[in-house]
Amino acid sequence: MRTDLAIALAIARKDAVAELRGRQAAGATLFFAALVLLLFGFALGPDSRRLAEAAPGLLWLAIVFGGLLTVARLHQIETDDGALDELARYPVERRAIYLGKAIAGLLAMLALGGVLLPVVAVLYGIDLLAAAPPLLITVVLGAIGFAAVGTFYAGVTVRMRAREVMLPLLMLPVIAPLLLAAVKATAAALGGDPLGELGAWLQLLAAFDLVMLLAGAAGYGYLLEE
Amino acid sequence: MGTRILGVGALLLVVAASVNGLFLVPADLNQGDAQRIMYVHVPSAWLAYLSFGVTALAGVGYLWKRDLRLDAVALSAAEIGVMFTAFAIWSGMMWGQPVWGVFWQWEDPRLTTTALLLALYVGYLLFRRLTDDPRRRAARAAVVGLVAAVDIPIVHFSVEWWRGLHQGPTIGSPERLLDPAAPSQFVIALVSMVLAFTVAWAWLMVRRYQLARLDADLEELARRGRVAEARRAGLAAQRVEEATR
Amino acid sequence: MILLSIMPRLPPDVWFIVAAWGVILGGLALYAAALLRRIAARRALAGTRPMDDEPPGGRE
Repeated sequence: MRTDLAIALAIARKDAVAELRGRQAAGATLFFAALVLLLFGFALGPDSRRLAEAAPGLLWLAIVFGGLLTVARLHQIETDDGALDELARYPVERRAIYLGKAIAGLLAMLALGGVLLPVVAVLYGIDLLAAAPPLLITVVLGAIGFAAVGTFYAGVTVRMRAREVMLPLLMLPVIAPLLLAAVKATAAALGGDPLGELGAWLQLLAAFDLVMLLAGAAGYGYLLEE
Repeated sequence: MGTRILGVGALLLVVAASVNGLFLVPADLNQGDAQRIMYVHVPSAWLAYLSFGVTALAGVGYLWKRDLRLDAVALSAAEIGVMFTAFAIWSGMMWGQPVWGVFWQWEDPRLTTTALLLALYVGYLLFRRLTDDPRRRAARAAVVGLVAAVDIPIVHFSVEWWRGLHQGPTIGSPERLLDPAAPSQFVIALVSMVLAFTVAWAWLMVRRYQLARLDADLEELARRGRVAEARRAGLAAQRVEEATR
Repeated sequence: MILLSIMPRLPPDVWFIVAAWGVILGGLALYAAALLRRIAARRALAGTRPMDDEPPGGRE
C-alpha cells in the first residue's frame, strides 16, 4: 500500500513537472475556462444581480469545461509517444498508476479552481472572502471527484476514435451528481447557508469522491490491458 | 423453435394486455384516461432498469470468465435498455402534460434520473461502436457499464435531495397504481402489461443476442482479410460494411 | 377535415394516450422487425461464406 502511494506520487510529480515545463497548454486551458465565464456574462446579460444568482452554476460549468480539457490532455501526453504502454509494462499495481494520474489531475483541477474563483468574484461581483472556508472545501471535494472520474474516462477513451467527443459524452452524465452537489454547496456557502444544508451537500460530494475513486482504481487496470 | 414460440407468445400477450389496458379497464377517477399511459410507462421503466442490471452483471461475468458470449449479452441488454428508457421518458412526458400540465417536471427525481440513465447508456453504445478490437472493446465496455451502474444510485439520490431536502413525494406519482387501496382491475391491468412486456423483452434479448453473435462471426471473418471475398459472394456490399463496421 | 371534425368530440387526453402507446407499440414492432431482418441478412451472408466456394489456396 505504501509503495503504491510512492509510485502514485512519482507519477503525479512527473506529470506536474511536464505541465510546468510545457506551460502553454495548461495556461491555455486556464485562459479558456476564464473566457467561458466572460461569455456566460454576455449570455446572461448585464443585470449583475442575475449574474450573482447564477454564479455558482456558471462557476462549476466553467470548471467542468476546463476540466474536460485538462484530464484529456493529461492522458494525451502519455499516448503521444507511447509512454502509456511503457507505464503499463512496469511491474507496479495498476491502481497506483491510476492514483498517480488522478493526483496529477487533482493538482490541475485545483489550479483551475484557484484561477476561476477570483475571476468569478470580479466578473459577477461576489464577495468570496466571507465564505472562503466552505468554498475551499467545496472546490477541493469537487476537484477530487472530477479528477477521479476524469482520469478513469480519459483512460477509457484514450486511443479511440472520436475521443474528443466521447470523453465529454461518457463523462458528463456520470458527474451530474457532482455538478449538482457542488453548485448547491457553493450557493449555500455564498448565501450564508440559511437552510443549514451545506453539510449534507459536502457529505454527498465526499461520498461521490470515495465511490468514484474506488471504482476508478478497480476499473483502470482493465483499461491498460491489451 | 423455442424462440419462435416465445415470440408468438409475447405478441399474443402484448396484444391481449394492450386491449385490456386501453379499452376494457375503466378510466381512473382522478386522472381520467391519462392513467392508461401508466400501463406502458411502468413496464418500460422496469425493463430499462432490468436491462441495465443485466448489462452490468454480464460485464462482471465477462471480466471474470473472459467469454465473448457474455459481452454479446451485455451489448444486447444495453441496446434494448436504451430503447425502453426512451419509451419510459416519452410515455412519462405524454402522461405529465395532461396530469401535471408540463411535459418535463424538473422536480420529479425519477424523470431526471432516467434522462441521465439514457445519456449514460447511449454513451456506452457509442463507445462500443467506436472501439474496434473485440476483446479490448468487451473489457472496456464492461468497466464503463459498471461505473455507469455504480453512478445510477448516486444520481438518483442527489436528484432526490436536489428538489428540496425536506419535501414529500411528487403528487400523482405512478406508484398510486400499486397502492393496496387501488382497485384490483387497475392492478391486474398493470401487472399483465408488465408480464407481457417482460416476455417480449426476453424474446428481443434472444434475437438481439443471436444478431450480436452473427455480427461477431462476420467481424472475425472480416478481420481475416476476407472482406473482398465476402463481397464477391454476391451480397450487397452495404450489408458487409454494416457488419464489419 | 374529417379528423378535425372528430377531434373536439374525443376526450382531451386521447391524443397523449395515442402518442404514448403508439410510439411504444410501434417502436417495439419496428425494432423486432429490424432484428429479424438483420438476422436473416447475416445468416444469408454467413451461408455463402467465401471459404466454402473459394478454391483451396484462395486468392491471398
